[in-house]
Formats: sequence, structure tokens, C-alpha cells
Amino acid sequence: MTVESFVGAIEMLLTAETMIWLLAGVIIGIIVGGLPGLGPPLGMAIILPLTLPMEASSAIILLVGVYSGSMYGGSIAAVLINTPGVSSSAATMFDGYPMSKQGRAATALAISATASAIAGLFTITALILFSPGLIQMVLAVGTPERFLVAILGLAMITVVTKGSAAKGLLAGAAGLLVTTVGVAQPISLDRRYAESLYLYDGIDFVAVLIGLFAIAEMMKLAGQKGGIAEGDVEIDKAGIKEGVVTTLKHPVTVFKSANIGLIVGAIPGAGATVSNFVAYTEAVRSSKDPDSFGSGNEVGVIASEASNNGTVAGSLVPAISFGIPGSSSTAVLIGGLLMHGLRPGPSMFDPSGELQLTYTLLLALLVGNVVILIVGLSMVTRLSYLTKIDTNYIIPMVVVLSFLGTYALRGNPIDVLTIIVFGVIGFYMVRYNYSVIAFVLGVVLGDIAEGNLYTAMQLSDGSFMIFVNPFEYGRWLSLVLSILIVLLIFGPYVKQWWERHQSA
Amino acid sequence: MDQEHTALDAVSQRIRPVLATIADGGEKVLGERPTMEHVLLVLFLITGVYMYLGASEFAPAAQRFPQLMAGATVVFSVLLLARNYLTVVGPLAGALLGGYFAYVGGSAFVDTGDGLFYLISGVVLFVVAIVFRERFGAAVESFVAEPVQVMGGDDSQPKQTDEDADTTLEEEPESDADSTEERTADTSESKTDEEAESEDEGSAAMYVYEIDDPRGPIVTGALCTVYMLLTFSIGMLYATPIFVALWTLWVRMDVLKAVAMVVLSFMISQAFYDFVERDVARGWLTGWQPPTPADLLSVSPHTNLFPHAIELLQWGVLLG
Repeated sequence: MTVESFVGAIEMLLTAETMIWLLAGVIIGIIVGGLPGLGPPLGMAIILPLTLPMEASSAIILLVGVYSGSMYGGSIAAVLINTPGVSSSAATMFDGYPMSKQGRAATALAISATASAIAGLFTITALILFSPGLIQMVLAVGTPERFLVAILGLAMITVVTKGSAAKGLLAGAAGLLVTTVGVAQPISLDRRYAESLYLYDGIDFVAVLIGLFAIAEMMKLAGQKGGIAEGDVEIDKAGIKEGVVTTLKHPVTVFKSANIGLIVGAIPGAGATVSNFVAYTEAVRSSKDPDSFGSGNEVGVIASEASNNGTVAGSLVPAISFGIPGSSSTAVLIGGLLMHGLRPGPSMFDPSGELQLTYTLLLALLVGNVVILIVGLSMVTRLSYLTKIDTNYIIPMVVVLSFLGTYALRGNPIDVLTIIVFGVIGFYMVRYNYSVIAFVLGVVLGDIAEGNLYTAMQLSDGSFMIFVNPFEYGRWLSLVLSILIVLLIFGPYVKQWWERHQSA
Repeated sequence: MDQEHTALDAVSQRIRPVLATIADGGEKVLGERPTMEHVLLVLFLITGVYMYLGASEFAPAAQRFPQLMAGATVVFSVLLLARNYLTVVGPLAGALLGGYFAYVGGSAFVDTGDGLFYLISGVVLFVVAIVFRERFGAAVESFVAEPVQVMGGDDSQPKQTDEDADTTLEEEPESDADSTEERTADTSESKTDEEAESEDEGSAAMYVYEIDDPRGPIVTGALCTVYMLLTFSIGMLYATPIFVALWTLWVRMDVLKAVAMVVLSFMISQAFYDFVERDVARGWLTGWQPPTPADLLSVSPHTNLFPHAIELLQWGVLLG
């Protein structure tokens, strides 16, 4: 059945319609990623409502195309104007921009396209090869464990976010709180605050995502100077071949960075911003000439770009398996899945369910990376145009598309209010280092966590011991997950206390 | 996005003394200069309290999850708001929370035999918070204030305090008009920007950015709100070009480019009206639907321009 699903996925992928959406997604992604200040979650959030009239498979393929393309696109502004188009390309600036100043912009951009494509191809292939094992694992996980996995995803936020754990947990709790408005899905009970009919279906989480990623980002962009290329950057065609060859000469860096991206990407909340720096730091650490980094070392660009595209595959694992977003972009992707009636979880791996679509999505990403390579290399000399678009044109258009797209979701005026409220909240949350991804995780995981909690409570007649007493309920995995959650939340404090105790 | 002196600055000059008075009062209560972060926390706190109380009106099965999350939101908001008094507030909050859990768990245990878990954990928390109050306070302080991170930035860097940021701000010479304007208000906004930036530096695990002109986000937020109000009153079809026109005025865009932007935005909203959602032409609050371009241009005797003459006149007055 799994093989049949795979073959069916190939057939679905090879249709003209799918390929057109994939190509469109990648190109839109490259453009969105290349525009300073925009990025994958924003691009995907704006496009999300526009996919409403589309078929589910086409919509998801368009979204993953945007996701993948914008990961590469982010390097364009990083290399040409020393401003990362997306935060996941920040490390690309360190060596990409010096290369550009040395007149090697084409080489840097070609390295970026090649490393992104190879890393993407490698990690997606690995994911497809490991998918039978992953399928078994996901299908073996029961309701109590799915609740605990959701909580584990939230607990990880305290690990991967900088700053106080209380801020991360507050953001997560507030996100979960948002999902408690409206009819409680698992129990179909009314939860309308102030008895508002407009809140009957709750707060639309796609509108929340649009507010957090589009409106908040535009507010941020409106307060920033620069980001626009002042003069012409010379992009010499001759450097393209050099860039491809240079990347191919560093297979170890590419594969190591891709793996870092894959692993870090699977950690909820970490995302490409973290993997990008981890891979870059590792490249510096393992280099024979670490001092050359920061002044135009090609290996720095390879490491950074290979890792952020590797993250795409990694972040899809928890997203599709358990509905836990590995990054902001996968949160929007989950929004897309839910909007089109697809529920992340076991059904996405069930041969009689949506396994074919899951395979189509992975194969689309595989082909998408080839598209990145072709489009990226063939457009290298023209990419500088993207960096000359003034944010004064971008901001109103993004706001307009956000408003119209949000209203199109359900025709509910509350959604318009939602994007403004959460846009302002998101802006200040980021400003004061409250994890937006924790908030998003809460919003995305609310229904999943509550639904599974409710079912688990039914299984145990209302006893929380189902999570920690394997002798009575036979759920050892629940116990392991519970211990992991406790370790994640309290481990750092115990470690601190132990170190202080030792030094005293 | 840098603007020269605008009406916004005049407004900010006027409200500066009021803000300063509020900030002084807030500083006494909070132990630090109030910023937009405190506003955010108060918003979370009020929402949490409202939703906690509101959830008590739901059916029992629907209460548990929202109350749990609202409770967590309230507790974390209070801890963060009181971060300068945690050695006192921490044990107090712990004792109160423990007492509450013990009461809820005890009541449930007496009534139905359930609630033992709540009862025990409540009693334990209460006892720990009272008996080991100093250690408990220090632990809460560490939980709220100290960075706990295993990935990303460098924790060895000392965190810049509010005092440091204030000092930096005061010592900076006011070199030009822009820099003077950016200090708009000893107000919390510019101070907090500095603080937030200094906190943001050197981190890989979070989203890093700088704000050069604090007015940009404020104006964008305000224009979005105007856009929403227009949407609710006349519908998005016409609210969209008006919003874009206002934006182009704010950024002082060239007339030709501005007109092109307005036309483009109108084409987008028209496309939404034609292909996605007809309701975008209607104001939700007023129920009013201004004539669409199709109505205006129609040659049909039923929908031609003439019947809308009065509305058009109103429009003309409004735009004029």
C-alpha cells in the first residue's frame, strides 16, 4: 500500500497542473525571500487565503514551493546588500557580502543556489527513504502520547528561545488561550465569550498567523531604514560556473550542514535561523583557516545556505506527523493543511488516508530544489533588481493583500480585527523578546492538545495517571515523554543549581 | 523609512508631559521605567483574568482547558510585571496558588472523591512557598529573569539593564534633527527600542532587528486601524485605495507613482470583489454598499450612474 501511494504520488506530481503550481511557488518564494524584510512565513501567510478556491494538493504544493524557494531567495539580499531577506540567511551575510564587495557576487549567489538545491535534494531524499520507519512510528503513537508530544513541543520552546523561560511559557499559554474561543471542537460545547455570534467558530488561526507574520512584519519594516540597494551591484556571468564548482568541491560541508539543518529543523521552535548559525559555527570550527571567515570565505556561504534548505525537510517531520510546527513557516503550512480539511497526524501517513498527498508533497519539494537550481542559476545576473524595490511599495501592498485575503477566509469581519490586534501584539512580542513561535505553537497546538487530552481523560476515567503510570495503563512511551518534558523544563535549572553547588 | 518633521511630532510634543507623568507613576509601582512591554503584559493579564472568569460560565467539560491556560497566562504575566519584587512576590504567589489548588482539589475530593492530585500538589506548593520562601523567591527570580538557553547566542554576555540603557541614551550627543526627533519622548518608546536592541544583539536563536524610526510602526498600525474602520463602514473595495492613498501621502511618494499604487490597489480589491468575495464591497457596521465601478459604468437603465448621483455627490464632498 505504501508503494502504491508512492507511485500514485509520482503520477500526481507529474501532472501539468501540479508542476505549474510548484514552479509558481518556487518563483514566488524566491521573489518573496529576496525582498528585504519579507520571508517564508509572510509569503506563505499572504498566499494562504488565496489558495481557498484551489484543490488541497495544489494548494499545499504551492505553499511548500514558496517555503523552499524563499529559503534560497533570502540569500539574494544577504549577498548583495548585506541585509538578510529572511532571518535564516543571516549567516550568509558574513561571507556572502564580502564576496560581493570583492566583485564575486555571481559566485556567491551561484554557491547559494547550488548548496541550497543539493542540501534540499539530500535531506528530502533522506526523509523519503526513512518515511516507512517514520510511518510505523507515527501510527504507533496513541492519543495520550500525542497530547504529550504536543506539550513536549511547547516545552522545547523554553530551550530554544533566548531570554527568560517565563516569557516563552507566557507566549505559549497565551497562544493556547486563543484556541479556547468558540466551540470546543473535541467536545462540541459552546465557548463563546460575551455570547458573540462572530466568535462562534473561534478566532481563525490563519488570521492570527497573517497578523503575526504580515502586519507585524510590515510595522517592523516601516520603522527600518535601508535594505534597499543604493547602487548597481555588478554581477559577472563568469562567476556562476565558479560558484557551482566551488560548492561541488566541498561535499562534506554541504552534507554536514544539510544534516544540521535536518536535525535542528525537526526541533519545534528552532527553525532555520538557529540551524543557519549552528552550521556556520561548525564550518568555522572545523576549518583549517578559521580567520578567513567573515572576509569572503565561500565555505561560510555553503554552510549557511545548505543548512537553511536542509531545515525545510526537518521541520516537516513534526509538522506532518504530529501537527507541531518546527518553524513559523511550517505553522503556516499546517494552517494550509487544516484550511483544506487535512489534519496533520496519523492520517497523513495512512495509506488509506493522505499518504499519497504526503509523498506528493515530499516529491514536490525534491523537484522544487531542482527548480531552485535552474531558476537560481539562470537568474543570477538579474537578481539584483529585487533588492532595489523600495519598501514603500511593498508595505501597502502586503497590508492590502493581508486584509483582502483574511476577509476572504470566512467573510467574518472579526478576522480583520484579528489581524490588526495580533499584528500589534506580534510586533511588540518580537520587540521585547517574547517568542512568537511559542505563541504560534500554542495557537496551532491548542486544538490538538485539548482534543487528545480529552480523549486520554476518557480512556483513564479522568485520571492524569495515564501519563505517568505505565504499570496500570501499559503506556511506557507516555512515561518517557513525561520525563522528557520535565527534564526540558527543569533540566537547565537543575544544571545551574548543580554547577553552583559544585563550584561552592 | 525616514520622515521629516510631521504633524505626528507636534502631537508627540503635546502628549510628552502626560506620558512622562504616567511613566513616573509607573516607575514607582513597577520598579522600572514602564515600556510597551508592560502594556503588553497588562493586556495579557486582563485577557487572562477575563477569560478565566468568562470560562466559568461554560459547561463544566468545556471549562478546564481555558481556565488552565488563562490561569497560566495570568500567573506568568504577574511574575513578569513584578519581576523587580520577585523575592517577595514569588513566595506570595506560590502560596496563593498552592492554597487555591488545595482548596479546589479539597472541595472536589470531598464532593466526588476526585481532585487528590490537585490537593496534594497544592499543599506541597503552599508549604514549600512558605517554609523555603527565600530559596523559592530566588528560584522564581531565576525562572523569570535569567536566560536559559542551550542553543543560539552567548549567555556569558552581561545583560544590559534599564539603567545602562538610560545612561547610554542620555550620554549620546544629539547630533542632528533626526536624532532629536527619534528621542521623541523620553517616552518609553525610544527608550525601549534601545533596550530591546541591546537585548537582541548577539542572539542566533531569535529574530533580530532594529527600529530606526519609531514613528514608522506607529503610523503603519494607525493606518491599518483606519483601513479596518473604513472596511467596516464602506467596505474593502473602496477602503483599499483610500488606505494606499493615505500611505503614499505619509511616505510622500511622487504623485505619478502614488496614483499608480492607488490604481493597482483598486484593481486588486476589484479582482477580489469579482472572483473571491462579493461582500468586500459592503460595510459590515453600516450595511452600506457604495456603487461598484460596474454599477457606475453600466449603461443599463436600472444600474446606471444617474440613480447614484446623490451618493456620488456625498463621495465628492468626502474626498474633497
